[in-house]
Amino acid sequence: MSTTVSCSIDLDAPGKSTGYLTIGDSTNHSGWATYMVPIIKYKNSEGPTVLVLAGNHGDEYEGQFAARDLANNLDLNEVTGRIIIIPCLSQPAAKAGTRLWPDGTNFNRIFPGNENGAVHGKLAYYLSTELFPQVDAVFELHSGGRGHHFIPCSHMVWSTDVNQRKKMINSMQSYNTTHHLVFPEQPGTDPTTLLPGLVERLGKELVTTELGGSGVATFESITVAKEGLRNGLRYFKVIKGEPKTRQQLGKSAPVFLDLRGSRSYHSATHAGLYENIKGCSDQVSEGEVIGLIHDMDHPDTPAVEIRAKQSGVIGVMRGFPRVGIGDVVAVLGPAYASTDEFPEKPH
Amino acid sequence: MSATVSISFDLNAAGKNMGYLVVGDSTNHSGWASHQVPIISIKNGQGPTVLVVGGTHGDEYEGQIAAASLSRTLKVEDVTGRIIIIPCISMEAARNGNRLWNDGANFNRVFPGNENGAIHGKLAHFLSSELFPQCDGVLDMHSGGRSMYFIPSSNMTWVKDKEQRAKLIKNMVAWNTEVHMVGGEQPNTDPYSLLNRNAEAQGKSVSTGEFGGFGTTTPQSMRIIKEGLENFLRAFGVLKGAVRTREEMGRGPLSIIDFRDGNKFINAPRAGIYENLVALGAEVKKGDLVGQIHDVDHPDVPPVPVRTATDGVVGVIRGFPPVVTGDCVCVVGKKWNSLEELERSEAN
Repeated sequence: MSTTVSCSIDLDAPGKSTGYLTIGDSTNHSGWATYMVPIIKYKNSEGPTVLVLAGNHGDEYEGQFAARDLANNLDLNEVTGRIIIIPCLSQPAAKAGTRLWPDGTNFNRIFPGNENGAVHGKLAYYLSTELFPQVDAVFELHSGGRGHHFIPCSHMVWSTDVNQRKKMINSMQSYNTTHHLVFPEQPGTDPTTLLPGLVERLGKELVTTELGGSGVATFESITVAKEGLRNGLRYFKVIKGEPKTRQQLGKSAPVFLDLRGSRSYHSATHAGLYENIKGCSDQVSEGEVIGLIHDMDHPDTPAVEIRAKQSGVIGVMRGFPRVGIGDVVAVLGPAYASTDEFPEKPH
Repeated sequence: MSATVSISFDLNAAGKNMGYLVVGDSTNHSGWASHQVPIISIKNGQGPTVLVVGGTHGDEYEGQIAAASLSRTLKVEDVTGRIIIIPCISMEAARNGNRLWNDGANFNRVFPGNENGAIHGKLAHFLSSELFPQCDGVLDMHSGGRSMYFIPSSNMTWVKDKEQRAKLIKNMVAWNTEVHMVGGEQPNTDPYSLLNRNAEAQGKSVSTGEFGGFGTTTPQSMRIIKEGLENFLRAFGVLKGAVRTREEMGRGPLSIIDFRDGNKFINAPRAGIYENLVALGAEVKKGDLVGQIHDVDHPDVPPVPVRTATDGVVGVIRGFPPVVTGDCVCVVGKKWNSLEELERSEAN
């Protein structure tokens, strides 16, 4: 129970309500301020509770538009259960066009939060202790942000818990994207400090996405974000209507990229200006040049080649071209028709 | 003649030479500093001189990478004349991922420059007084930067002078981009404060383009600009090899998106987070929704619709979603399917 965050609407009341999570704040421009995070709730008849979250990282706008579409346009009569929507968790970052909060905090590394910490810590604590326990499923909508560009997709982290993994594989496909990306746990990171990592370990149903990137949102990527979310909500039976598969919609069979292996991630070996030679959904062979790093200060220095460490399909390419040494410039891995075909141990 | 900018090598020497434009600088971190802008010259045999400039705006990376790649890959024996390349003129802005210099200067509004001004003023003065006079052609490669995305295309500013216009059209189509764009004079702007217009006023043959945007590059946008640049240089007679036709480059028939009317530019009627509701290249009718602006602080307030005031094709969409009142969010132009149609439209 959080004593530092309150909600201005009754989340259990039937009907549609809009309001705010309110957090006590004090800034140089304003003492006794209230930090306000918009929240929307739909409740109608009986059914599960689904939480829709976007804007965990500020510069990932596709999911924020999909969440707002739901908040603005969903008909209450379509709902069977309860949908709680927070269109943007990290509003100061989103307004500034940055991934991180103004103090440098990555909202996706501070769970389970801190009841008496900064505003973001209090917000994370409220989610962990008050919201997550009352929901059955969580949609967490990301994209590449300014730094990266993904094939618009739903994705998952390969869980060691086989039952949880199975649930996630099925729910991931409800988003109906052309590709699904399967990642390893983030190396060197406590997984429960991540919002989805914590949700997964609470045993909740979970769908996560990477809906594009480059810090922008196009009509095409926003459409994928909106349509997938509606279908996913049907899959969880919280809005009426049968979910459709890609096959039923007359679309190509989905492709699963296995990005669990150590040769999936490609980092910049030098600082400079990165040029994507190969881009999202391109098939590449081991050893092929996928990018070049240009030293713009020294025109006599040849561009540094980045070569594919394994054969596969590119799931993530670089957005913002300026890179420092160690920045991720591409993620690629072998493609399969089903996760059942994945090798037990990734390459 | 500039007394405040020098060049570290002889631009008239034969062969491939590279070095820097050097501008005296003094920063908080470094007294007696030099601001250095890489410049490359490739000279061989007889022919025209063409200046290729990228990075007029820092966050427009397509032209910078195309120019840097050209300087690395061009062989001296392929050149007939002289190609001078400045891959990135606004180094400071490009390093920071910004359109503008750190002091807010827009390099494309500081011409003819100021010999004793800020670094950008000195550079503009050097270009205007030393480089442009020794060139026959001047190329200035842009893109939408972080805030916009253009259908990657070469373009031109429509001018009344028919002879000048004919040169601009010839240069524009030499890029063989899928579409070309024609704009009018920028409203409320001194045209000669722009790099390309300053060169044009000196009687130079200029060409410009907007080769993508979003502050990124993709393999697709880079292929278009690199192939186009090479074809332009061949057509201009400074690079050996046959000029490629649209067909040979795998492009469809020529078309032009015409932005000359002021009402083609759609501006945000209020601040908020802008959502694109049309795809690049989509055909729209007057009154159609092209986007909406969300008031992200007030979930009970419906988004504000943004509509086109004219029929046409969406040539430019918004990149960076946060907008303030007056930011450009979309440009819709009339589509012409031949140069004759474009010229006829002027006659009307």
